[in-house]
Amino acid sequence: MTFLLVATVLIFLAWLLRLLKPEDAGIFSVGSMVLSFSAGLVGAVQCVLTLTGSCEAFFRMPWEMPFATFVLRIDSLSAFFLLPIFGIGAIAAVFGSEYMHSPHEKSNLSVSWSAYYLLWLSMILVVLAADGLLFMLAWEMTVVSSFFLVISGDGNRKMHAGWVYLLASHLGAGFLLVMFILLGRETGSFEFASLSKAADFSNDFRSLIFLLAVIGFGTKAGFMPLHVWLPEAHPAAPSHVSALMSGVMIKTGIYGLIRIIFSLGMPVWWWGWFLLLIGLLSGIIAIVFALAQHNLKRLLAYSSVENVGIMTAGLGIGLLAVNSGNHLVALLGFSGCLMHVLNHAVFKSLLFLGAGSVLVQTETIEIDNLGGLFKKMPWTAVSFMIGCVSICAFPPFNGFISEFMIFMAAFNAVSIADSLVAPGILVILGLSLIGGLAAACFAKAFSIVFLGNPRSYHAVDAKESGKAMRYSLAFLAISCLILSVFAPVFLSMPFAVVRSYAPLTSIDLSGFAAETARVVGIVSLCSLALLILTAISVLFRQFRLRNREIGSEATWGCGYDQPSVSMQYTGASFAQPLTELFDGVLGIKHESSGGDQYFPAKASYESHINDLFEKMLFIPAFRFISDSLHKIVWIQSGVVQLSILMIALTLFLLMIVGLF
Amino acid sequence: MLDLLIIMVVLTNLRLLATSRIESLISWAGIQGMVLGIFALLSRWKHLEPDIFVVGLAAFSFKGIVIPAMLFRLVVAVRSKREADPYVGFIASNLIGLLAFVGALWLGHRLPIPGNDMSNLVLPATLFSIFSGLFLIISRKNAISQVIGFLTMENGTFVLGVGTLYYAPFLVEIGALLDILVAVLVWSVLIRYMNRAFHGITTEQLTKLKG
Repeated sequence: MTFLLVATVLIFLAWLLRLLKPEDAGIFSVGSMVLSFSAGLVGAVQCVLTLTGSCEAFFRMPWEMPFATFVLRIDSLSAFFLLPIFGIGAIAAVFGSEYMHSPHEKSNLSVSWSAYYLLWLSMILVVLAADGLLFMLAWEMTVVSSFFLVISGDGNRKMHAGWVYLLASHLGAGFLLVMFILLGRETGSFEFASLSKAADFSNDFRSLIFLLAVIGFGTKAGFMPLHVWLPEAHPAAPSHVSALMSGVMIKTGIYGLIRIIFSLGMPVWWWGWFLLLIGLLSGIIAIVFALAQHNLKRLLAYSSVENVGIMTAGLGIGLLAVNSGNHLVALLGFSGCLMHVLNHAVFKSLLFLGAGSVLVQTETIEIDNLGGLFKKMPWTAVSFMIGCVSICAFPPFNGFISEFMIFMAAFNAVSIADSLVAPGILVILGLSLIGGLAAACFAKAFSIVFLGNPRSYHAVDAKESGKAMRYSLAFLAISCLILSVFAPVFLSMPFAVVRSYAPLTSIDLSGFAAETARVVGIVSLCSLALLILTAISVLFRQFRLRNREIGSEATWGCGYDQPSVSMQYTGASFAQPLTELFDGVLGIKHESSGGDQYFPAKASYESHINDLFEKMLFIPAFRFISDSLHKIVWIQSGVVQLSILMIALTLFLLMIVGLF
Repeated sequence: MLDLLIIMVVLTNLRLLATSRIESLISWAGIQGMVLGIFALLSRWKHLEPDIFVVGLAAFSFKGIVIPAMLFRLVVAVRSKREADPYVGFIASNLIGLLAFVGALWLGHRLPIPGNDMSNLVLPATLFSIFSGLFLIISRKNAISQVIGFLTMENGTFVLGVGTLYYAPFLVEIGALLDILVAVLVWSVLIRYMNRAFHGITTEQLTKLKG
């Protein structure tokens, strides 16, 4: 706990420095940056210690809150999720200290930083809390602080995004509150220590808890169709906050789900199926939507939904395997899911920070207005490319490792267990489809933004961002590589978490773990070899080009004598073959005029895309609710006397009830 | 003697229900306040302790003199219509009041309160005062009569408080008295603003505030 305490104090100090002189970009900002970064380091040390030595720490404090106790506990599960919170929180703070001073950001700096540090601290509290009510309190704090970050700055779109976010989060929190109260009533205490009693309850009760947890935590994590707040809130928030929200905050949903599932004992047979299907459906639909987006940060938000889908699929197949007693598959599924949590935190924040760097320089995030940024912003471009390669799960970067583990789980399921053939095949098919579509999606994102020539005046004058932003991007890009090359070392962390799952504690997993580490080690070696080969070929190219004249031509010039920038692919045209294929889901609206005459004339084309679930499910549902409420709004006549009469009648009725 | 005072409280309540003019509403509320002050003083006359003396004196002066004076000045300041503007007519109000008193008597017998060593009428009078106050608030449009309604409700709880003064601490009673004083102050400011904003103080105008 000492490290955690030091880290918390450092965060508070960093916050204080921000508050002392919020507009200052000099010594105060640098000091706060350094403090935040060291807080991240110190916190990460505690996580690693807990995960390797399994030294669990416990902290209890008297608290006046009725029914609740102030208990903090760090075990392997919370330490695992705490690691990205500290790491990404620190990097995003470093990035933000430059980002927030760019002319693009117009929000109040002291409010914005206060909300940021509050969000960071409350997320730490969420994973440490070992009491249901304390957990809910911290959970609400993350929602409220990030709500302020989403709406800070100006624009109607932000308010809309903020309301959608707040509403979705509170609906989710409502389910969670019911779940904790039910658990508290049955186990006799809100403390997590007594949650393990829930393992002995009837299947129906446990399934009810499971469903409530999936809905409540799924809203945060972004399961389809509860994901609607993500594509609204992420683009609206400042980029380093989007990185923190998408990279880390939505993972607290996964954390909660795993925490509850782990305390519910032996899973009921359909839980794994349920999570598997949710995961695959979320993954496929979300990546199709990501492919069709015009806004870079919206695209990244949809891709977060897709990645959460992959994690959930891993969790699902793990549960199915526990149920049927295939412990190798269970180990692979769970640890694949957990590794993907860690990896996604790194590469998704890298991508959001890269998008933020682009946004600061060009003041736009519309993909079709960008282009040709590779030459102007090489650091951003290279790190964004590394992020893209990682998220598409290509070797040699970290995304490949975790998806490889989930694939391994699926292939093992198909080959060794009869009962797991169907889920195994589903996972293999689903993940392949997701992987292919993700590759197309990020090929679009990277190539339209960074390659070719600038498509609008926004991108013409872009320069490379400053040091803080560049170094944080580079740090994350290198982390992607390290997580891949040294993957077998990191594997012991998810294994420690999986061992704490009650149905698996009594089983010796070390053989399976060693086997997994061996196979992953081979993959890591291949990654390393690939990396070295690439480096050699780059050096060879440099060597061969030495002392030669190098000419340059317009990219995608297609042999035209006078190529113009409008001849390039746009994001929409690049993705069109695939988006047409999925038109049934996407429902893209096209508007075009002109362009069909023999001689060129003025022509225009626009396409719009709405979220399927928002349009078909949530908007009609909320309209129905508001219409039905309009029917009883006469109760609220505004006449003071009537309101008081109602209060009086209520009191009178209560007295009657009390008397008889 | 005490019963007589309690009956006077009940009668002033009925009078309040039957009054149409704002000025006489205020006067009768003041008279009720004075009666309550005397009631508090007489209730423990034989062994009068300083705290009961203070409560009685404070009730007499605040409820009987200060607050009515403030309300009179308010009426002049806002040039209010002098009618109470009832939703429910005065005779009907009185009949309802009588019915409510019967109900209160019946309820008072059903609910024994600890520490009532004075009169069986304490609880019925309390309940009836609370009812009259609520009824005044609900059935009159003029904002000042709503303030009177509130005062009447408070007077009801004061009867109960004095009836069980051995149990209800002195500080609570004095605190409640000061609260009402402040509440009336706030209301007089609010009603002045209301008069300025809506050119009148009937509560019907307040529906305009609805979003």
